[in-house]
Amino acid sequence: MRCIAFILIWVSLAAGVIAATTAYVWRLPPPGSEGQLQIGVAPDESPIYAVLAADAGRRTDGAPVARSDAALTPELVTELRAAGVQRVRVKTFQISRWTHFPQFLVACVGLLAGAILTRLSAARAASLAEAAQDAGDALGPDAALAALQQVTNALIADIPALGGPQAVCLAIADRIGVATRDLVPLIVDARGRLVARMGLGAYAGFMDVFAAGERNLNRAWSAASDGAEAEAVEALERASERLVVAQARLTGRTSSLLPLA
Amino acid sequence: MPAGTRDNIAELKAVIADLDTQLAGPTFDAVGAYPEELALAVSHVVSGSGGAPGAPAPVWSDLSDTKLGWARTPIWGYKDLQARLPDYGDKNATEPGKLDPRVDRNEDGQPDLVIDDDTVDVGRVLGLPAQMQFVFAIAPFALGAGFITGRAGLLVLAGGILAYFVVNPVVYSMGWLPATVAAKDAPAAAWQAFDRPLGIGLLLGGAMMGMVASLPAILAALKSIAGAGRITGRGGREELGLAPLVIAVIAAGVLLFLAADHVGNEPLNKGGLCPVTGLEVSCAVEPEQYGGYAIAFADEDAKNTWASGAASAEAADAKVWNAEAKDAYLTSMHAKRGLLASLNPHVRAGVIALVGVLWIWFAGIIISQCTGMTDWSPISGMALLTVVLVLLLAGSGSVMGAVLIGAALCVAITLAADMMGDLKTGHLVGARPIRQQITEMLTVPIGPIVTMFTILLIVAVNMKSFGVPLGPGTPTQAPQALALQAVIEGVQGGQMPYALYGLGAGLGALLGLGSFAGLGVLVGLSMYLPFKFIATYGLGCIANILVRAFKGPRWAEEWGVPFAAGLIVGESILALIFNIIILALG
Repeated sequence: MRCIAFILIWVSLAAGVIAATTAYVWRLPPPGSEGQLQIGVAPDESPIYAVLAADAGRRTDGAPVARSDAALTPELVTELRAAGVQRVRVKTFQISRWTHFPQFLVACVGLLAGAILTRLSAARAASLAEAAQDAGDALGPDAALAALQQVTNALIADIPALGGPQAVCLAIADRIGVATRDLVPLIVDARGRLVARMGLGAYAGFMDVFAAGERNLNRAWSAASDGAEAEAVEALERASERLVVAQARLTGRTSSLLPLA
Repeated sequence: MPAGTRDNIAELKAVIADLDTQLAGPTFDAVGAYPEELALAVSHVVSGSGGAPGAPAPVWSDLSDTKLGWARTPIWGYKDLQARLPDYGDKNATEPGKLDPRVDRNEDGQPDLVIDDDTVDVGRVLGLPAQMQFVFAIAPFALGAGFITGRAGLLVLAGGILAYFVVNPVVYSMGWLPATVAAKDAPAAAWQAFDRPLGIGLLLGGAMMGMVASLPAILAALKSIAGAGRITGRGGREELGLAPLVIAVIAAGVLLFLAADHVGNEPLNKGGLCPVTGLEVSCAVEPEQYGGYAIAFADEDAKNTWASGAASAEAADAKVWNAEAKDAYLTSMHAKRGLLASLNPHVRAGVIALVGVLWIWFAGIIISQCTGMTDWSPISGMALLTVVLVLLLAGSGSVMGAVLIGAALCVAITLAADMMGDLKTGHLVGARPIRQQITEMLTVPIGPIVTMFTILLIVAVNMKSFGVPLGPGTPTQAPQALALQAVIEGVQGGQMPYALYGLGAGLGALLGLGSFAGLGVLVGLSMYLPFKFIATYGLGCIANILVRAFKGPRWAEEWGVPFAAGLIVGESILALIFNIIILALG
């Protein structure tokens, strides 16, 4: 379904863009109807004709039959038709003269259908992924977040027993490096599933606090790599607090970070 | 020998000796050092004629060709590789002795270059039809940006292929482009006529739909910003609160109002001639408002004549300054009435400032989306739209105000794009956003100062090398300035393709309805940018996919991304270094 939706979207888009390029292209009227290209009447009651937006026609010497900015008077229309010109590009847009308007509408319907299909396909993929997670086939965002919390908390608990600052820094850099590399993408890449499950507003609220947690993990890793033990440990503890709130928001238990104060 | 002849001969000898001295002097030495071919080329540029019959007239930039001996020690360029198309002989030539036009489009008697200093024309090597442009820009920054974007950037490439390999050839073959446009010029003509306006429309529509779809997330973000000011947990606040944001918005509104009010009240004919007397306008006479414009006069009598609608002089054919004559005067000044023409000038400035602030916010979202997804930021397109918007509101004569607000928008959205990258980088190393935000605000003034210095440097180099500060005839052609001029003239002449913007916006909005809200923005971007950059960018995306497939994602991240970032930064730095060397060595 996803594949069909994409083909439908691109074909419709191509058709729509091609149709749109003709918005300013007018077909020259048949003989006897040259005055049809009149678009208004001046205050002195003289007719106002559409004006060419680009050169029209081509003589044998390569010169245009009519230059850009020329008014499409009946005489000029007759001359252009005699030179074999069928369409001209003008400066005025009139939907009644847009010959490819129906094609444009069809393309819009195609794009709409494609959009609906992609949404259905995304919803189906999200529910399949949820089902796979429930069946324990794959590590989903909930499990990844729980694992991330577990790694962080275990590390905080281990710190007193690690010995000197160098060992602490090494442990933080090692374990947090692996956790952020392996677990964070599982949560970030599950955007579609989480949006489908939580709604965009709640997902944004979750990501807000999760991103703060991830940022603190990054800071812990960064500080540990620089040998700044105190800063690394502090960032680790802050990350742990944020991840607890993130977990709560993911499961819908609470939505506020304010209690941290 | 007649009397006096000896004296005349002596005088003639003295003149010849003087000429010999002059010819041996430094001035004539310098002139004589330039090859004859260069002198001829200069003559052709000045006269606007081609060298060979039928050949296009050379332009100033052609003179930098090393073949003409312009520079004695030229900087090496890709053009000097002299990689040319294979010579098919003259089997399809229109005239005997000429080369096949497929390989010698510029009719200079030799096959065209495949690689010039800026591009690699793969389409011509492959023998694609002339209306299909398959050209890669020699732009390391585009390659690097494509690599960093990876698979997601393929949508941009797909949009470019759609525009340049499907839409343009179809439009050309259907005869919807002017018949005078040759196949080889079709891509450029199509880009100018509809690709770019439709692309901007797609960008707008896609961004608007993306914004609507993201409203819950935007509200959550605002809530988070508001809450950020109250979070005082371990480590203190992480982000600036809502208060600085509100203050910044109000300050921006006030500054825009002051600018719009000041510029909007400048007389339309400031420093010019009085419409009534034809004499130079006087600063001592208070301008009169008409049609949304302030009009200056030479004296009080002229002002009263204008205001009362009386005849301008005692003569029998004197002009009567009725509404029709005043409108005709505005038309002669390319000043159409704006949508807000009937408002009080200060109220009008207030409305323009308000719209400006909202538009800058919306444009900031568009730019942030584009930067976040692709690393491209269509700043010029947004600036051109701003100019159109202000000209529509204030009137087509308010060019100064429109450009001023356009410049403000450029600065604001450039910072938005920059912040996207900075915050992302900061996130990766765990930087605290509030510190980044404060630092950015404090260091913002450095940007314009460095920019002005860089422009002065470029101008100095151009003056040394080409005798022209900027623009045509130099490598810094400032095409966006010409685009801005074209847009302003388009609005003044009623030639703006508003329908194309609208139709593009409709298509962009429909694209954004799908599960990937950014699709409209990406496709719009690909139609808005020239294909040569899209092609190189796409190459970067494909390189990323291949590197991931063969070396693994980790290798791509740890080695590929830093290398790509180096390509982006290195290109600009190298250009700057070259300019400094040229300036230093003369």
